[in-house]
Amino acid sequence: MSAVLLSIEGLVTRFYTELGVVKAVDGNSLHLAGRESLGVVGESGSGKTVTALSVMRLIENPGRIEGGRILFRGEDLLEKTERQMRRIRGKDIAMVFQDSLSSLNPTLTIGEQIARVLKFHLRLSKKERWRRTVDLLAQVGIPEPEQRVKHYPHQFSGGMRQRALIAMAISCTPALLILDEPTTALDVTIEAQIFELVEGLKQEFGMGTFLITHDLSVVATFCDRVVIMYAGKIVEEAPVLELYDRPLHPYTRGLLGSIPPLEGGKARLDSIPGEVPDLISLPPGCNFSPRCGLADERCWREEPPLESPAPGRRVACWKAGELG
Amino acid sequence: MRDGALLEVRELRKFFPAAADWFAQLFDRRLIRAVDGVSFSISRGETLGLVGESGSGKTTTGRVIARLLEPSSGQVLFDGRDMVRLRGKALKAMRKRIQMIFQDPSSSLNRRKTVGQIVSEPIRIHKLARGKALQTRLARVVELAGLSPKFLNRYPHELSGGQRQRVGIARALAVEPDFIVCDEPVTALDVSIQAQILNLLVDLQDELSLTYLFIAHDLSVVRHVSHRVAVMYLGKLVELAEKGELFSRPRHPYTQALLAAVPRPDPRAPKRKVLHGEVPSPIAPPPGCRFHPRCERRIEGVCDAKEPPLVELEGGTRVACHLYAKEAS
Repeated sequence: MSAVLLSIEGLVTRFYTELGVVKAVDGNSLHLAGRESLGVVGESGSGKTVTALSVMRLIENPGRIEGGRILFRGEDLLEKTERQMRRIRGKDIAMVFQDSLSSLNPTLTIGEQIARVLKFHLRLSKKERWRRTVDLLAQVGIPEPEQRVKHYPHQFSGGMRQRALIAMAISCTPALLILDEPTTALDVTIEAQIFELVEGLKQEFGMGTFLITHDLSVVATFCDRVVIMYAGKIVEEAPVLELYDRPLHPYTRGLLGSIPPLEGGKARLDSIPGEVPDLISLPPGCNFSPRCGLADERCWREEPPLESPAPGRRVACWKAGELG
Repeated sequence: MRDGALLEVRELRKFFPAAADWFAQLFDRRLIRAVDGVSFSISRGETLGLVGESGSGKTTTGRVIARLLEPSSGQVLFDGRDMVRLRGKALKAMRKRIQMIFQDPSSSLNRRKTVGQIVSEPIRIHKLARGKALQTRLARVVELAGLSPKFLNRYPHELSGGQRQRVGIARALAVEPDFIVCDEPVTALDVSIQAQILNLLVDLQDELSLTYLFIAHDLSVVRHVSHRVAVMYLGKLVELAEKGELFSRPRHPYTQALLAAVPRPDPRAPKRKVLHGEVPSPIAPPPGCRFHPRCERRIEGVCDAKEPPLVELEGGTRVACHLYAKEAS
């Protein structure tokens, strides 16, 4: 594994709403090496998207990044001015969002939108921009790219729009590609196409990928390492094989048990009881304790620290030792 | 008709005009062939899973069966009577027996009404209970759906996604239906909540001897709840089989491709196989077999020329593919 590309240290991101303070990301640390694929898994409100938006410095009012450091190639992104960030976003770090329709401008053609990125970051001439845009569309598998550059987003299917967004994201060959639920709205055959594409691009350009998803099956097929988040905190981290062979956190176990196997043969799913907690009024102690079958007095009272029971693994659970 | 079939669909078709309004329709008379000749039946107490990708026509099929849409042609026999022809009182009586659970519990519940009002509405419309009896019935169906009766006075926005879907289920159960069309009932929910709702639907079926049409795009979810599974592609039924048979021995090349594309929660699982291309437009579907432009096993001159009939193979699997024309029993 090559040198560390991204290192998040003690990140705290909060939203000051009328109802109270939402602790969206609560003191998390994680890192990503160049060429590595990290999967960040969690349900709604786990803080996975807010973590990525913090890296992009796209947290808007009433949200604030209140603590920690985000080191990208050794430089703290939180110290950068907005002007400097604009030079980084889309060039060194690119992000592909879940909803392709709302992340594209409906009044500009696909070609113009990609060409603008090339103009801003690479200062290519008009002719070069168009040639490169057509090349990019061809590279992400859009048929008849010379025609397609002139089309508007609504003329593309969902899968094609997601491909166009990926073309835009890789247009300046970023070192880090953040994918936020890139295939959630898509059919499974299109999802397989998109991941085949990203896998190929990863091999070609050697970028690090940060994949945000709720889908543990997608992570199993795509990632090297996985971080599991719950209610704003990292609860477990492991290399991908170890996570599925020996999950340590009861929440991870619950998530894996909730997936109906395609092979069948399971009469009942091991569902996790209860609901994802409200981030404004989190329970005392471990955030997962109200839903955890193993929880006892200590779990309800004291928050478990994120500890490393083995190299490359981290888990935040008082009971993890017993589960081993 | 199958033994004990509660619902039978015969040659169902539903076309929509491609143009958005009547004025545009004057110039553009093209039709979207959303459902184009689909036949199947569902036995009492059975769950038929209906899978397919966007544009396959699975949701339209469900909506026609629930009679939220009028079919363009074909029959929907419920308990032996053609629903499509029913009007007035007979239709209302039939509507009581068929209910629907929708994908998005946030948009399918009225925001201005309390849970109690939402769930009691179908009871009042069908005049099944009033006063104290209504209250008892409300408390019972809400509890059946796994909610505490204290939720009756709450509004949808005060509930989580999972709780809202339970309200949708309670509303469907309120009139004691025989048949429920479940349209992607867990797609919008978090993974940990999905399992709760799936377990609930399975329990309710046992307890109340319900019959389900379960529409979903997630194959592992469909396998978990269904007895038999039907696969749709571009408005057509391409395969229908017992679930064990469908998942272990898929016959149609599209079913095979769909299964191979599903990611497994196992890093050691074989790599996903990628089906290339996209679903063509239902306005001008390909001639012959609708899957032939994407099919690896297509027979030139046959698949692109002649539409394959749905034939029954040994073991009861029905498949619409020229590869199996000889095997048909």
